[in-house]
Amino acid sequence: MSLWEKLFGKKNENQNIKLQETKVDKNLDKNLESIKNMLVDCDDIVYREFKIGTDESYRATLIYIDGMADKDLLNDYVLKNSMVSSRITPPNEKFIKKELSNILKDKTLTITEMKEVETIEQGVLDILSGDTVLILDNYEKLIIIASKGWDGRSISQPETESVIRGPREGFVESLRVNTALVRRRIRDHKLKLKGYKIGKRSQSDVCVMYIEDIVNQDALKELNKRLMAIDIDAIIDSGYIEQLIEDNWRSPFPQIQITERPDVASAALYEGKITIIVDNSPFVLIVPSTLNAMMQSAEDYYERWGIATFIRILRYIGAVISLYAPALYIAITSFHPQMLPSKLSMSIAANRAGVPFPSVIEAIIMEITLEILREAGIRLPGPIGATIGIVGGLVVGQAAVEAGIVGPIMVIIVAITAISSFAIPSYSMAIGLRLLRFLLIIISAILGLYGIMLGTIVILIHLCSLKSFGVPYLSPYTAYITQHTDLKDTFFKAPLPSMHNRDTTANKNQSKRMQDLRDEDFNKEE
Amino acid sequence: MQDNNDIIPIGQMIFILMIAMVGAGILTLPRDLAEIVPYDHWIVLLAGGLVAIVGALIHGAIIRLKPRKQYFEILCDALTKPIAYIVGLTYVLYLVGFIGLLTRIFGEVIKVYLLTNTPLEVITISILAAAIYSARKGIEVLGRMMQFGFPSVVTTIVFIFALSFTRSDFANLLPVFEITPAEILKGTPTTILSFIGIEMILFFGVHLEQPKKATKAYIAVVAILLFYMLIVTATLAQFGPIQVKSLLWPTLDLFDTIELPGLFIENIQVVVMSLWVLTIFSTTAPMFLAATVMTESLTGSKDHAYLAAPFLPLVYLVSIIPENISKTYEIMNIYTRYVASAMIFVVPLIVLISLVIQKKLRREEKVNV
Repeated sequence: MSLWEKLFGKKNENQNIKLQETKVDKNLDKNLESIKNMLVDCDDIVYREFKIGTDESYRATLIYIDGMADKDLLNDYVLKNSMVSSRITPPNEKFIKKELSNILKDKTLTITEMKEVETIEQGVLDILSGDTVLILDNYEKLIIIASKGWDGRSISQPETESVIRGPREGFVESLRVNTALVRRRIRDHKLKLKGYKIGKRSQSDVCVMYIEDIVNQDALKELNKRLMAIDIDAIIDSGYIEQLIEDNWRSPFPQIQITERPDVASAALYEGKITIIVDNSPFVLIVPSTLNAMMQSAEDYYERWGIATFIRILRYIGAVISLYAPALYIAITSFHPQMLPSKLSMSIAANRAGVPFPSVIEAIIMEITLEILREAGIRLPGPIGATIGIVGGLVVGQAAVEAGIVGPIMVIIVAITAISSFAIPSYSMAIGLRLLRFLLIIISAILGLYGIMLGTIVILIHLCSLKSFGVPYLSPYTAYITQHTDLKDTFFKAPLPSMHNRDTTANKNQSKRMQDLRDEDFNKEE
Repeated sequence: MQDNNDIIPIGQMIFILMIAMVGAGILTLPRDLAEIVPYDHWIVLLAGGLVAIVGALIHGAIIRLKPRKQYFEILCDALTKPIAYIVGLTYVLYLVGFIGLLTRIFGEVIKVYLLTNTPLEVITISILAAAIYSARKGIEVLGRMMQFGFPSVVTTIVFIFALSFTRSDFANLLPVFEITPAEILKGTPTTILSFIGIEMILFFGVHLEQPKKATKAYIAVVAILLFYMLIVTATLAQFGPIQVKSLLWPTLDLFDTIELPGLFIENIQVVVMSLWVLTIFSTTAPMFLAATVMTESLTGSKDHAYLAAPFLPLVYLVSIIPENISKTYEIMNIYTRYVASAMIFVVPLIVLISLVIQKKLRREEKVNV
């Protein structure tokens, strides 16, 4: 706890009020009454009362939400079975009186998933989650029929992480579909799924997945602690969870990796990481995450190593350019023109001769214009978005140069910066660098190259101080002596046969991934 | 997750020490050597390096004898509490003085080469602010940062020197092996002072993952010794001893002579100055941290983060004391020759002797019982 909090911090008030609990009564009407009381003014709730038995002497009620429950299932396997089929072969009268509930459960309802709850509140929560409650007369439990069935988006290609080579499947909004997509890639009983319900009002399903024996245990404990500590009314998207559990909310850098691709998520699981799947969100979180992981794309692992290495180095160069290009331009033109070859220096000066603003204003105008263009392009529908790009990029740029508001070299710099920032695979990382670029522009306008260096040092200190669930953000670059095996998967991607060690952040007992096959001669005749 | 905080492996400690040692001394080392002896400068440097290695071994031995203890606690054990307070305070003042002079030199260099019109105060205060930010974050961050930056720094340096050697005249280094032992002795103290920063391990020894390996710190000295050899040889081979004597910053003038045919950057100064900023930062940041850690022990406070910022005005005051750059160097020479040698070699030696005697006595007591 910092000094500030000690002096001025408030005492933590515990606002968690325990849920009120009402036991299920024997009387059906009483139960129905209390459920109706809780769900008053909820017009989408359907109450279906019906009778069971040859002489229609046993009353029952189905309760579900219209649109969330699978009606075909209720019709064919619940109502039909209990109302029609049970009459065709009437069971023993005496027997049925006591055992109706068991007969229904064991013999009549042809439903795969069923459970019983003892409190009204739990039953209501299940109704609200899309399941169906069956109330029986003279029975002290509620039967919950798993009937979740609503229309969702079908599995389609992920839009933010497209690859040339690799699976085309992407996560969707439904939690169970997503867990199945991952499970299909990991046929190992050690893959564990742990469910949480987060959000006092939304009660959103959050699923934590990990492979038991290779997961980083410290990170898992820490994640559990942080998830349990969340106290919020609703979770709308996995972005909420990300912001609530990340290590440093002040940082411009994303500390949790997000992915839309099941292959990326399962590869991360095999590396001892943990994935967090949130219901209603196609973005899955991966922790712990590092800067290195953010600069990788799924494709790197499917292509051969030479190409992957080359592309990764390009990405890092792109990141550096997108961070520094405008700042360097300002520093050199306003403070140190002698750094450039004299011909280039002269041509820049000649180009800038008619421009009325200092280069920092020029840079800020152009950068802001570009950011607005980018934002406008995202918001507009597809074809119009492309038009905006052409109109904005070409026409405005050309006109601005001709009108003498900005120099042509500034336009080149801004364009290169924009293109470079698109080369970064992680969108959130690219946004972070965009923010820092403005910081560097301002400091370079004040202190020139020295300012840029100073800014770099401060950014580096910040990056070195970041940790994601106990793993240093810059690892393995900051620990290449002790974790030298991790270096095989950094900006240099080693050939797959030589990557026989798992990430050192994973469990130490499971460091081996595969046998070394490098020296095996497949063409050797036996 | 925070329980492994403030523990660094010996590798990172070596990185910290290495970059901490390359401070302001690097700019003037060739000139200092040239002023003392006309030839065989590298032998004098080697002698100084050997002494520094002995110093590193002394420091390492202290940490090994008293693992997981703050330097102040070690001082208390070795010298009794009242003396330890005085010595500890002296260490803080010494560090403040050194950082002050260092930032002054830094500011002057930046003013000459990069920002001619910017006031000196802005330059010095901004680098100090960065160092304070780093000191607040603690040793772990510093260790990671040094390790992260090291490969790129080394690559750049090797690249620059490879370029500078193309125009050198190695006849300037002749004659060899003409030096007398008396001259070596005379020159050694000057060269030792290029190794200031080695004492950082005393303050950070408590954070070492394996204190048993503390004596490995000498590797840092060896590496830096080789680096200095490279610089001195390159500079003297380029200019010759007589011309070097008349240059203010011979090392920087060496880079001025480098030409990059066909490259985008005409002037290699950009690269050199970025390295220079990084170097001075990595010298001041550990010293700042050391000063705050020592103050933390002296005042018995729990959190060092709040103690870093109050040093800023003190350091700044020191940095504006000298009237001009030559006065700065005069003060720096006197300061390092007497104060720094005492703090780096004399005090640790006394501490080590005292600790060893205590250990012997305890063993004898055990035998007697």
